[in-house]
Amino acid sequence: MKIIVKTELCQGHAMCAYKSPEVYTLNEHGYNDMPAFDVTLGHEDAALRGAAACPEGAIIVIED
Amino acid sequence: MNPTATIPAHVDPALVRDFDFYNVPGDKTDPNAAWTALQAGPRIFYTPRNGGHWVVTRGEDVATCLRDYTRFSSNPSSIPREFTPPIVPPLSIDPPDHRAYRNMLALTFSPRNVAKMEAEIRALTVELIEGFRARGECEFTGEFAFHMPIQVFMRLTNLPDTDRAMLLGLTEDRMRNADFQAGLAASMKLQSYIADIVQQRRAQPGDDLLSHIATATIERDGGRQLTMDELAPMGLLLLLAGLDTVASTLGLIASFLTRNPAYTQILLNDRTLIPGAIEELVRSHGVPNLARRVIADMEYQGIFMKGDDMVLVPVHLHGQDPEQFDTPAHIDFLRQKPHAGFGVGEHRCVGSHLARLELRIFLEEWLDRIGEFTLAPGKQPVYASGAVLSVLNLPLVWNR
Repeated sequence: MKIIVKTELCQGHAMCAYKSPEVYTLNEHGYNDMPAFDVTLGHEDAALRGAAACPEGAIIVIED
Repeated sequence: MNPTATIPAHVDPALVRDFDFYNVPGDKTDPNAAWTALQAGPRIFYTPRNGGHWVVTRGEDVATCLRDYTRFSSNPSSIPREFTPPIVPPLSIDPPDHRAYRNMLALTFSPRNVAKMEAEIRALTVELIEGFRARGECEFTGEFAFHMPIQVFMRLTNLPDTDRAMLLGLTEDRMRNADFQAGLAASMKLQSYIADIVQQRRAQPGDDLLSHIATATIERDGGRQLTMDELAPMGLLLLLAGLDTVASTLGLIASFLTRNPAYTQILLNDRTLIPGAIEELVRSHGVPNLARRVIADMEYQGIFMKGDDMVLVPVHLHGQDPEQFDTPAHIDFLRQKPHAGFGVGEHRCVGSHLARLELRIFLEEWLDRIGEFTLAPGKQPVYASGAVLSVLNLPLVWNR
């Protein structure tokens, strides 16, 4: 599973990091500017949960 | 009190309603019913009240107005448009300039930084609740809902506690005085108070939010400090946005729990539901009525809007739109769908993480110390509409 954060859409709601801190981290201003990454095995559910929580639809999940 | 403007020639007469958002029929007793009633009418309508403006009533349009800064500007940031200073950073600044102003606040209000304030906010919350707990009753708005967030604001900004009553009084006049001129006068007094403090802090900075915005360099014009014309309205915005919206939300949540004690029981039985409860209660009790200005002549949802037209954007109606949320009137603490209660887009509430923390600490400490509570016998809450939907009076009782 791969995650792409459309960082231009991120508005700092922080819901991704709140729901799934093991997957998503925020910069010092509270925005998600993570480059595309592969989800660690076993963290798939958390990755999906965090993506679904984004009010801006800024997190794209690509399933294998 | 809210002068009626002439209806502009471009507005379709079929879309005109006499609607004063400071005084909506039925809003004093049931603001949710009063506002959601708009969704039975036209998707978008025009009212001559408050200088004349459009009102969007569907969630999709609320989100579009908030997100699409190429069609809807945030300047001016209030209806009527004369009610705010010409520049209120970052609220009234459109992208691309907006982010530089917002970043001045984003550090202070980031989830990481806000988390450091938990112990202090909890201590002041406990002190407030313990101040009236043994009485078995309180007037929630006047004794708690305003005092908690203003104490948080005064600590963030290191203002003397002796100014608290004065700031609360002026804020009340600014937000809810039916006399437009009185509201404007209160706004000017608050700005001049903040301007004085900011000037002192620029000369002798401390480790507080006002010192920070007074001395920080903004990434504009090659890097500069903010001018007083920017700082005073920005300080006023921090006070009003941090105080009134939180107080209103606290009041609406407490009022909801008096009407639905089963939900108090749910939380008493399982505190892990509190964060989900906060999201759901913010979703269903959105408080701000935001303002946008149409940038240029356009057709929107089949309606001709002229450049410079104002649009009222009631966040409450996003959370109550059945096209956005299944059975929106039903409260479900496990609901997962993201909501727009703190807004969406570039101007999303920068203080939302602090607000969430305040709401969580309130519920935790209130449930621990007071538990179940009800409306005082024979009393009714009093609500009000306006720029922020609010609870003016909420008399509560509980077993001591």
